[in-house]
Amino acid sequence: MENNSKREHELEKTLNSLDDLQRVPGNPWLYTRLQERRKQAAQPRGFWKVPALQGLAFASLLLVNVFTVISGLKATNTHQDKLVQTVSEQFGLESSIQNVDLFNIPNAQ
Amino acid sequence: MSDEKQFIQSLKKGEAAAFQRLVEESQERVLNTCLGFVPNLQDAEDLTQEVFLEAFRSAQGFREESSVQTWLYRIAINKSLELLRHRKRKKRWAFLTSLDAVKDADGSQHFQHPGVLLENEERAELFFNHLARLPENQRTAFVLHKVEGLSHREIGEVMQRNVSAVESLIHRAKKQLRESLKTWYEQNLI
Repeated sequence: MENNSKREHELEKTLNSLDDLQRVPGNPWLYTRLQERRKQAAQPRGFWKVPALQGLAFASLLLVNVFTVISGLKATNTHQDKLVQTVSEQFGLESSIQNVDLFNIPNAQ
Repeated sequence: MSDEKQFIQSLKKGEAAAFQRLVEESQERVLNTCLGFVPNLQDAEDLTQEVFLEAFRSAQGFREESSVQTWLYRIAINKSLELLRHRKRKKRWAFLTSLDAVKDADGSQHFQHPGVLLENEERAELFFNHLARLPENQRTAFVLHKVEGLSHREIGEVMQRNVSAVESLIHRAKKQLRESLKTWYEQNLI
């Protein structure tokens, strides 16, 4: 019972805590700051700061990377094929690695 | 031409003297409104700057359907609510970044309202924490009424609602605040 009335009392005090809220005065330098920010905003920004161009640059970079990786993989495959061909020609083996059968080499002992 | 009309025309033309007058006459009102939503002086001052910069940018498009003060109140409310929404989103995703981000995203940790008397600070902080849980429209009506002391008709102009809708919003806000605080006291005050 006593707790209830204490809670009620605290609740009322909290609900009324903004009754004597004071007005907060403005900043006397606000206009000067705003002038400064407007000046900064009016200055032409570098082209690299334009979001659309940033996106374009990122996409181009990504594209160049993908192209480089794909052509690198292709070059590696061609190089490997050539190597296999050269080795198989020199040793008189079949030219394709798919046809190499290690367990059916004639005269192998 | 009346002084107000002339003032609006000067604002629309982008005259520096008109903007200076706007800032000097309205900054206290804007700052205190922002403090009603974001009870932290630094945040409210930053918001006040954003409000006036937005006013500078959009002055040309001001349609004169309301007073300049009503227009400024709308900008201040929108900017404050935008900041709060941004913080909420940031808090929601903060677990992906770091513990510091969680701390920063929670505005309630940095209560600093210079208009609150020192002996009332703890209670006011609790009050603002519960005020932050109200729906945006109830919160807006309540802040304009309690903090800015606007009449129901003036709040209606700012929120573009009729007087009875404003009364209902304030009534519901008070009821919800009372219930929310009552539950808090039941859980925390033995």
